[in-house]
Formats: sequence, C-alpha cells, structure tokens
Amino acid sequence: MENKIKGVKKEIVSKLNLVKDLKDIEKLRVEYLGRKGIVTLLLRKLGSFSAEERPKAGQLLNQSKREIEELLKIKEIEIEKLEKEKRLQGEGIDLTLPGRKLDRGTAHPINLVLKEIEEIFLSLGFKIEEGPEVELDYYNFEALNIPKDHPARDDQDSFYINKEILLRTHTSPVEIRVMEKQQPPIRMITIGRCYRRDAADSTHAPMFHQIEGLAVDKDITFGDLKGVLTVFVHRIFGKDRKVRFRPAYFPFTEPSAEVDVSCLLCHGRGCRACGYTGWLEIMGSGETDPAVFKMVGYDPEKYSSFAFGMGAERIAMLKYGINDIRLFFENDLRFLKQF
Amino acid sequence: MQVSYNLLKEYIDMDMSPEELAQRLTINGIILERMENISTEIEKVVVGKIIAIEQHPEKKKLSVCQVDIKKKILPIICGAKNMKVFDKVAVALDGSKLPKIGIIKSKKFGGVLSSGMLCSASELGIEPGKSPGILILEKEAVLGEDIRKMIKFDDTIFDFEIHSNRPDLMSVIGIAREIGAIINNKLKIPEIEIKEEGEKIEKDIVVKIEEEDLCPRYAGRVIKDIKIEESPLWLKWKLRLLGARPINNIVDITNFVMMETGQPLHAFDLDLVKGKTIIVRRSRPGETICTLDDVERQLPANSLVIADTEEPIALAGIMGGKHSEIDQSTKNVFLESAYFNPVNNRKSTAKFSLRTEASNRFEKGIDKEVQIYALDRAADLINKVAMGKISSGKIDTNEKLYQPNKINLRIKRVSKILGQFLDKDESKTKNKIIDILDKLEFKLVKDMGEYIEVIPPSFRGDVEREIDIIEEIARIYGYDKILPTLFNTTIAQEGKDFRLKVVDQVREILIGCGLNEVITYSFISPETFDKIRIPEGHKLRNAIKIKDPLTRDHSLMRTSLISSLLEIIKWNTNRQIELVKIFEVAKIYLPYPDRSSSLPNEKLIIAGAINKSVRGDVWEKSLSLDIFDVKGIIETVFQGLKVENWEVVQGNHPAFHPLRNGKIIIRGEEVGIFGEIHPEVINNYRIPGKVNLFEIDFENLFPNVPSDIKYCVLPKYPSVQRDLAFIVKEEILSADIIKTIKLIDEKLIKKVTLFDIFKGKQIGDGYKSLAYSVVFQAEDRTLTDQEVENIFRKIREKLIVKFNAKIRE
Repeated sequence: MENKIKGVKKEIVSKLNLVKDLKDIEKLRVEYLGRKGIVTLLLRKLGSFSAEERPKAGQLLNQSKREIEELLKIKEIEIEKLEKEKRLQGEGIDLTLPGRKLDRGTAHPINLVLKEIEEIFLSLGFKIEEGPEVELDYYNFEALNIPKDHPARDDQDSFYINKEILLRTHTSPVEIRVMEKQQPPIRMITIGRCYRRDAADSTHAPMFHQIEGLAVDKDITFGDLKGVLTVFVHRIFGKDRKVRFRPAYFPFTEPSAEVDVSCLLCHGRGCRACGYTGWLEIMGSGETDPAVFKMVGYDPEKYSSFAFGMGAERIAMLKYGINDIRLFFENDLRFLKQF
Repeated sequence: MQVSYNLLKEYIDMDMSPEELAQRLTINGIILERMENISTEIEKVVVGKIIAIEQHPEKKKLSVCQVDIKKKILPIICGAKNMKVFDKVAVALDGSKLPKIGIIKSKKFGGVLSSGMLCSASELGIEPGKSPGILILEKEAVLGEDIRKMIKFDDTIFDFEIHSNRPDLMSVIGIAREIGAIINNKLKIPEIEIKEEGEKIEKDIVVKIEEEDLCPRYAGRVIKDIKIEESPLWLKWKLRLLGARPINNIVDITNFVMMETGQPLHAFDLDLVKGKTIIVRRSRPGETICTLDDVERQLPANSLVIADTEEPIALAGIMGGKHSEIDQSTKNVFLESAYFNPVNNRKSTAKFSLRTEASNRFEKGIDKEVQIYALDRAADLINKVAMGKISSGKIDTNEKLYQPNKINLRIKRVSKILGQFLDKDESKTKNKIIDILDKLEFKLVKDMGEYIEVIPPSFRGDVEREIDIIEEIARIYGYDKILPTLFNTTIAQEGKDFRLKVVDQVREILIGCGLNEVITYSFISPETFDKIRIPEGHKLRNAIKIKDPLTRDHSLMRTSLISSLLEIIKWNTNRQIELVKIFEVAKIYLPYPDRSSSLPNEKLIIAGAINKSVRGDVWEKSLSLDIFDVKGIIETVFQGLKVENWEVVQGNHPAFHPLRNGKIIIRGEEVGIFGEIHPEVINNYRIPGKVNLFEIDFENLFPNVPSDIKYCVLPKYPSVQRDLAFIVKEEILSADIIKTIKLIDEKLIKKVTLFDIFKGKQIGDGYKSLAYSVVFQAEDRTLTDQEVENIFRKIREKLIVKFNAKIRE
C-alpha cells in the first residue's frame, strides 16, 4: 500500500512537469482526486484493510491526498502567472505614437521679457504703476523739463492728436503722474506701449514697449543707481556680464548715464553686433533733474532719486538673438511658437 | 561730428592710439559712432609743373602735357581739360601706386608714350566719388616733392555722436579741449595775426540790427582784392577729414573755421550787398529768397533774415542767398560771425524744414565769446590763402554778450548726489573737485569753506546750476569709479496689484487653452470699419485720429481688436499655416464726447480668435473648431477667475454672423462678445474658411472677479442624480430650460447639465431632443426616493406647460 501511494505521488510529480495550461491541471485533478480518481478509489478501498492496518493507511492516504492537492495548487498558481505574463506580452504598443497633448499656447516674446524684468524689480521692492498711452503734452514733455522749444523735442518724432495731446513717446510721463499724487518714498516701475514717428525697418517700429523705473527717497545716490541696475543686468543677462555706465544727456536727469552691457555675442571682444566696441547699449538712466522735482512739488534739497528706462524690444532682441524688430509685430506663428 | 586723429593732434598733444582715444571719449560721454582707417597706399606721386600742353595727334579728346618734375621733363597724356600751362599738379610716376587704381605704368596712347599720370583729387583719396578734373596744386607746392610730404595720408576718421546739450563739442577745438580735460593736457589754439590794411571797414559796410533779441551779437570784417581759386591741398585735405566737399578757397575757409571753432560764418560778396548796408530784421509779407541750394523760398512773415537795403540776402543762421554768393567773379567779401537766438533758429529750421551745419550749431547755442576769434581766424586764412586785404577795423555789435554765471557748489552736496566719492577727507575731496573743474576751464572765484564759487567757461552754456557742475565732476572723475551700492530705504512693498495679477492670470489661462499670444499695432486704417461691416454712425467708428500719421493704414487709434486679429490670421494663412489660434490683451481708445480737452478712455480688451481651415491635415480637421470652442475658451477664463452668474444672449455686432453672434452679460452689463465672423468680413480679409472670435471688455469684467476665495463645507449627505430627455421646438434655448428647471427647487436642485442634443427624422423637422441630468442634494439629510420623485415630477410638468415639451420615457 505504502509503495503504491509513493508510486502515485511520483507519477503525479512527473505528470505535473508536463502540464502546459490550466486545463491539464484540471484533467490531473479529475484523474487523481475526482470521484473516480485514483486516490479516491484508493480511499474507498480502505474498508478492505485490516483493523490494524486501516488507521495507518488512512492517515497515509489522507496526507498524500492533501499533498497532491497542494502540488496541483502550486502548479496552478505558477501556470496562472505564466499565462498572465503571456497575455501582457501580447499587449505591446508603439510608444512612439504621438501623445494626446493639450496643445499649449505661447506668450509673446515681448511679454516674456517684460515679465522677467518685472519679476526682478518686484523682488527689489518696486511697485507696478500704470498710465495712459494717449497722453498730454505736459506729462510727456513739459513736466520732464522738455519745454516747447527744447532741442531734445522734435515734433517730427511724435504722433500728435492735437496741440496738447499726443501718443506718449516714452513711459516717463507715468513717473510724473505718480509723483504728483504721492509723496516719497517711491519705488515704482511702469511698463507699456510707446509710439514714435519712425517708419518700420529692421531696427525701428512706430510702436514699441518701454520699461521705466523710479526710486525717490532722502538719500538716494548715483551709487544706488549703479547698484540696482547692475543687479538688474546680472539677473537678466547673466552674472558674467560686465556693466558700464557712460555719461549721457537726457533733459529729465542730471547726472545722466547710458548703461552698456558687454556684448552677448563676442563677450566684449568686438563683433558686428556691437559695432566692434564690445559693448551693447541697453538703457538710459540718471538722477532725476531738480527741475522735474520742482514741477511735481518735491524739494530737491530734501529728496533725490534715480530713474531708468529701456526698450523691451531691444532687450528681447539681444536676449533671443533676433535681428529684425518687425518680427515682433508680424506675429508669424512659426516665430511665436519658438517662445 | 566727424574729425580725424591727426587733425585732433594739431590741437592737443596725446600719446594714445586712435582706438584708445575713442574708448576714452566714449566712457566720458562722446560716443564713437564710426571709426575708419583711411591709411591709403600712395607711392611715387610727386609735385610737377605743366610747361606745355598740346593736343594728341590722333585722339582729339586727349592732351599731351610736358611736365617738369624737377629732375626731368616727362610727357604725360591726360583726358582732363581743367589744367593750364604753369599749373602745379600731382604726378603719378612710372611704377607709382594709387589707392583705388593700383600700380601706374608708362603706357602708349595712340602711338604717344605717357610716362605717368596726372592725378585727380578722388584718385588721391582727397574727395569721395569722382572728381571732374585733375587736382591743381597751389603755387607754393615744391617741385619734385613727394606728395606725402604735403599731407599725412595715414589717418583715422572718427564720427562722434554729440549730445544735444554739448554744442561746444561740434568743433575740432571743442573735442580737443575735452580730450585735454580727460588727459590733463593743454589745448593748442592756432595763433592769428591780423594784418589790417587799407580803408576802414565803415566805408564799405554798415550793420543795422533791428531784432536784438534774435541777433544779440553780430560781428564782421571786410576783406578785399581776394583771388577766388581752388583751395590749397592742405585745406582740401582737412575738409575731407571733416567730411566736407571743397568748393572754393573762401567758402572752404568759412566751412573749415566753422568746424574748427564751432562758430558758423558766412561770406557775402560785398559788391552785391546793395546800399552797403546789412540789416538784421524780420521778413516782410510776400518776400522771397533764392537760397544757396537753388530753392526759391517764400518767406513766412517774421522770419529772421539778413537783408541789404532792398531785399533779404540770407536766412539768418541757416543758409545764404544765391544772389550774394561767392563765385569766380567775387573780389571783395563781407564776413559775418554772429550769435543768433537758439530758440528762434530752431523754429525757423522747422518752418523751412532746412537743417544745415550752421543751423545745427546755432539752434543748440554756440559759445558767446568765440565770434571774434572765429572771424579773425577766417580773415587771417583768407589773407594768407586768397591774398585778401583785411580792411581796418571790424564790426561787433555786442562785445559783452557773454555774462559770466556764478554758481555755488556745496562740497557736501557732491557726495550726497553721487554717493561714495573721491575721498573721505572733505578737504581732500574739495581739492580733487577744484582740480577737475580747473581741467574743464571752470574758474574758481572764491573758496568759502563749505562751498566754492565757480564760473563755467563761456562755451559751456549748458552748465547753469549746481547739479550741472556735479555731473561734470562725475563725468571727468569717471562713472566707473563711483561705487555701486544698494539703497536701504524703507518702503511698503506693494508689489503688483490685484488688477494686474488678474490680467496675468487671464493670459496664463488663454495660453493654457492653446492660444498663441500676439502683439499688434494700436493703429488701424480708416478702411477697417468698412471691412468689418461697422455701419456709418456706429459708435466704433468714433476713433482718435493721428494728426500727422506715417501712413493712412496707421492713422486711427483702434476701437476694437477684431481687425487686428483678422490681419494676423490672414498673415499666417497666407503662409500655409492652416490652424491659427491667437489672443491679444491690449487697449482700445475711445474718445470722450468732449474731444479736444480730455484724454480718451483707454480700455483693456482681451480678444481671441481661432480659424477653421478649409484644408489642413486630418488630425487638425478632426478638431472642427467652431463657435463653441471660443465660447469654451471664455468659459475657461471665467472658471479660472471664479466669475459666476454670467449669461449669454443673442448679440448684434455687425462683424459677426447675424445669428451666431453672442453677447456675454454679467449683472445686466455687457462684458464681451463672441461669434462666428460674418462671411462678408472673412471675404474682405481673404481668409480661407471660418473664424470664430471673442472680445472681452476687461474693465467690465474685472469688478466681477472675486479677490478672495471662501471655503464652503463639503456636503455630508449623498446626492441623487436623475436623467430626463424630452423633445422641444428647435428655437427653445437651453439656458432657458436650465433656468426653469433650477427654479423648481432652488434649494435641492444642485446642478443641471445638458448631456445630449439630437436632431433627426425620428424627432421631426423643427424639433430637437435634449437630455439633461439633474442632481439633487440636501444639506441636512439624505433625500428619499419619494422626495426626489416629487420634484422630478414637477420639473416634467413645468417643461410640458412652459415649453410644450414631449417627455421621452
């Protein structure tokens, strides 16, 4: 009896090795454990055993039955796992097919640059102010120390609406409007469209964007102007840029300074882009002229200030290597989508 | 201002290379615009003298000249006609080198040998372009001498940009003086010796100033018996270096002295000044003048002119008249050196739209003390170059025009403005300041301890105040030496206000919706209104007009962004870009009723447009963009901004399809429009396919944007959803149905959503089937089936009664 049972177990183990799928296992289960299965039949034969032999044989048989059940179960799990894997193997796809993206749009490069500049000055404690684009001659010129017959003022360069109203030629009038309505300290920037009577070519456009800044307080010096604008240049063009302050003339600032940055292309060695000077002019700046303070009722003995202004198009052209200002206003999608 | 390196060296000693000089000047505020090395390769060109001229035996147009070059006499063939026997000329010998031509060799022309060439001014690089004849040298030229001994051909030309407040730098002496201040060297001003001879000036000319305000100083000299000739080589060369064309010796001298000293001069042919009288007066109605540029000009009344007893003979400070011009027959000249009022000069140049080298200097304000120096310098040169005899005496109507302006400079103020500066020790700082001012020729009048009294030199009319002096100190000290600092003033950091933050947010949302941002000009053309079907008299036609636009296309300030976006769609579709989805956030400009006095209303507008291309690839076509895509974009914006309670009503904007034309209303106010662009408009712009577009008035939208978010407690009890489908007439609006359903029980009905719309044969013509899901929820309990069923029944009944709905079971 014992030998027989051992033989059955051996037989099962070898048959299990040949099993290919779950059906084979089910066949084996029926063959051995089914109603007419080999093990079941053996169990039925127990009655014919002697009383002494019966308990031992019964125990042996039952244990073997459990073992066989266990073996079948293990094999079954193994097969199931294999079959799952096989199924997954059949589910391959071409991962290089295009994804279903939500086609994102783009910000205009000018606004991208304006935003970046704005962030820098916001982090330095500047507030953003706004003002009209169609402006009074008074704010655009007169209050900025550019009286009617000043050489710096050329009617040819401005779009007038009537004698007193024009399209602002710079964002500086916003400074006057802010100073008129509040007392120092002031730290502000303003951003917006400006207009000059320039026919469009690769470096001119009748409309452009300016960023203007002003800081007024009791002890503001030319050193502060240099400090703040140096921080600005380093943050927008990179820390390895050199900054140069050069004497200039603007009617509304004294002293005045033009700000140059070492050429982005040749790193100061001199190339066509910088006219072989190694420097690129990026903005105008200076300490507010006492005459302007008088126009807004500030005491120049008590307060000093600095102001600066730059063209967003110029900054964007330098930053992105764009060589024609007209591209900004043509709005060709092949251009816009690069930003 | 054009000037050359060698020319500057005649006035200031310096040992810097041209490159170094340009660099130094740039960082001191005189910006180099252009630099050109003109070193020309000239070899074996010598001074010769023509001793005979014969016609070429075969070629009638050529002459054979016998030219004495001291060592021998050479036959040279020449095509020019302007030379005479005994003229001195520049001879390029056999094997010589000329800048543009190269090597010159002896050559036979029609059987006659030419042992070289007679050079023209342009061939020597003295004149640009092509000279009409050969260069005739002055009689004093030394026979056989190498031409390179007469002029320094190797030089560097600078073109400097001069700031409009520094007219003193519009002269060679001015720039040399500035270099002197920077490198601490003394200026060398040419010495003059005036040899007066003959009669007194008063015998030949009387000057009457009628307008002293406009002409506060007028000086002049008479020079007689001059010989009008071509200028000597040295003068021609100087003019070339300064960028001027030689004309004749007298005109060249006045031009040269103007560029040398900054004082414009004018020479009149004395014999053509009628009545021997110069009158500086305003023009009279109807007067005309023919100016040197051969233009007959009507003189607007009250223009400042120089006149004789009969008529105007020059536009004061701008240009001389043709009638009294210096020409070959001129014998005697009257030389004018005046100071004209800058403001008036500027107005006049604008009136005549005539800007000259002279007016360019007068309008900015020239040195009030230089008139006599410049006058005498020119007279001296005319005497030397043109053999003129200077009459004794001169005219000067106002020797005391220049009034020194004393300015107090507080030493402490300098550091207060500039920051960390010069020296901590105040007395050392003061000494350094005085030193800088001395270099700039500012006169120290008195040292008062805390401040000093200073007088700026006469040529620095731009320095009027203490702050102007401080700028000068900073400039010469060097901006680069002032330490950068970061201010530490206390200030409330307000940053960006809510309004601007919302604008940023809108732009972000639109970019997220797949739109590309554009920036278009604020100008539009008057034709735009017709193109987008705005009828006559419509309020959108009331636009701000630019008085003097560059082009008609840019002559109005826009009142809508519609045309600007359509233009961009057209630009792109013309370039095979099929799908265009764009937006712009920009202003429109609406005139106030009272046009003349107040500024327009500038409104911020958010506009977007998407086209549906006719062609395009399959994938894009499957998008099938229509009006609900633009409406969806608007809804996304509102959702992002948490704007609620908006509704859509039928619109009537003429640019849109009459029925696909929506208006967005919030609290009774129009906030925006959207729709399908009218096919006629599409046709006017020649855009393929359709365009759907929206415009949101940000000023009206903004007050409806909540500035903060309030949290609502999440519902504790489950919701119940029921679906409902029914058939109604096609013209019934979905929004009305939803409103009606919600009104049945405002408390328990939380949400009504359209989930299906169907039209077809089964439904019948003119009808549509709509399906909605309705969500019920109570805040305090779980709703029972019975409760929901009761409300649901009421909804069905209401729909049947109100819309004649046929409920589908």
